Amino acid sequence: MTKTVLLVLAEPGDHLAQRLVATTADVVETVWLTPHDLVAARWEHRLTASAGSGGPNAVAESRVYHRGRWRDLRRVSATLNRLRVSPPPAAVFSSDADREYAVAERHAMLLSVLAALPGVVVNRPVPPSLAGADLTLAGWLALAASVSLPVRGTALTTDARRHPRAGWLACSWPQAAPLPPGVPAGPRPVIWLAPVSTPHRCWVVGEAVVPGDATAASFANEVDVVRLARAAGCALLEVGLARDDAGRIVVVGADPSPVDVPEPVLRALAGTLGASVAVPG
Amino acid sequence: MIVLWGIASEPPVRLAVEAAERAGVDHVVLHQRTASEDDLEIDLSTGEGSLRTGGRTVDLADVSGVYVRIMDPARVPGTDSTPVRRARSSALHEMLLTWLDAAPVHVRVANPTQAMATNGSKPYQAQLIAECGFDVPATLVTDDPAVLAEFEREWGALVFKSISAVRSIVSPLDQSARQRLGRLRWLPVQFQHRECGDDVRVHVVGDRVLAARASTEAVDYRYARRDGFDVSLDPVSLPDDVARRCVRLAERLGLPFAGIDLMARPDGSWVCFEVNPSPGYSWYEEATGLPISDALVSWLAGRH
Repeated sequence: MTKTVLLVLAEPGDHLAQRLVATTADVVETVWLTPHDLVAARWEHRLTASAGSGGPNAVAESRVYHRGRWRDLRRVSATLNRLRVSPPPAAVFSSDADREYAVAERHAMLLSVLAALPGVVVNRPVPPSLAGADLTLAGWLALAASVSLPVRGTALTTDARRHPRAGWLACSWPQAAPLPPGVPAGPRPVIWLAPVSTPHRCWVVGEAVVPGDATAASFANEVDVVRLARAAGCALLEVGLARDDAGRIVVVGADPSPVDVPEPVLRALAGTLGASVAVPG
Repeated sequence: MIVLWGIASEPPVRLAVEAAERAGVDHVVLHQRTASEDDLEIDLSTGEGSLRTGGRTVDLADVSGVYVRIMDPARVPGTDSTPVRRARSSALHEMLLTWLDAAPVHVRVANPTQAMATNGSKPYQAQLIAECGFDVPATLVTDDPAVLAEFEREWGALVFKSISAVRSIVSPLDQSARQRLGRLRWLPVQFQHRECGDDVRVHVVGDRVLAARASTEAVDYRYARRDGFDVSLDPVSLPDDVARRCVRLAERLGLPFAGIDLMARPDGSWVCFEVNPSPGYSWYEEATGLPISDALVSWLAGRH
């Protein structure tokens, strides 16, 4: 009997990917490609006219030559995609301009290959990101607000002195790292963040919400975090929730590539990827 | 009130400003070169904010549309390069783009940066183009000469171009290019069947379609003069179903303003090469008289 093929795209030390593979190894054939493998492998990615009518006018198919054999990626059943950044270019490119070009070209190819993968892909590429939306904290909060979710009080300004927010936390732009208390000196761009309680994490996995603790469970009952994951094109999304000074439950952040997740998240992920296995609880 | 954002002397921005003045549309030009002198505040939780530029303060609630024709702020020529000014300029760009990507529905944006990103991968965008009912050229991305040879046996004459939006010029796979195939192993390249027919550039603005035919012997009509060929542009009417497909394609890509590169094959079918998310439309407007800037300003102002 042919095993289900699980494609894992991740760094060798990716803890979440390692845990998932360890729990599914008996029932799926895992093909793990690291960023280094993606550069070292040979590729064939085609777009050809489709034969049927009513569907797209062309279909994409990909093959990768890895460890001495060509693999047809149409045979992949599910993919765990943890590629946060483009693989580095081959050493043959010496000038900065050529290295930049090489990274852009390989990134563009991978984006198309990933978009054409069959089955469930967690997470699918969202251009320009290879795996889910890649947003700053401000971008996540803006996206959450755009789908009518309550978000932490957040103000962006190019000049903190001109637009101060009393009692709010000044953070650097765009990293959102806390700055010393008070209004920063000079015409400095900042993100102002309203005070909130300690954040609690929950995870959207497919259409399910897995809370990290009882408080997160009660928070998630009030905020439809699945809507944020859908808007971001993410089948897996960690969302931080907290209570603000007005008593509202608000979104305080999100991460499409969480590292440290509890076992129930792993079980939900295995279920979403179609690996019907019992993950130790 | 509309905001026209870019380098004011650059032809597409200049034409948009002139169109706004002709139409009597209240507008603000947000100059990239002087962005470090501007001031922006946005409250993401309420959607409120203000932009101060050129001595005028704009309430973001009054903005009906924004034309985004910007370049990387770090590469804008003629800007003040002190670290503080660079940081302010860069922050204004990023903050405004953050707001535009999640802007309220009453704000028309041409175009959101997230939507523009599809052009960063030509074969990815081609998959979306094919979903909208257009043929795309048979395409191969490979770093393997043997795979390329098989593709060439199947399709005959080929061209190649970048996979990303960087250095995107179409070139024939000729004898000169073949001498460099030894380097193919180091980086995948995109090859395509060389299509024959008439090049047609379609500008979609909202639901309006303005098309021009390019006549030239060059492989890439956009670079015809550089390569020693003549090129002429003429307005052309598209068949209704092709025009509808162009509007559907622009909608699918989330691009209210799009430059779609089509080719009319001799057999009457159409093939789509790619969609430019920030079309340098001025060349087409000035050569053909097509009122692209008028359509753009009208759409931004909510008049169609």
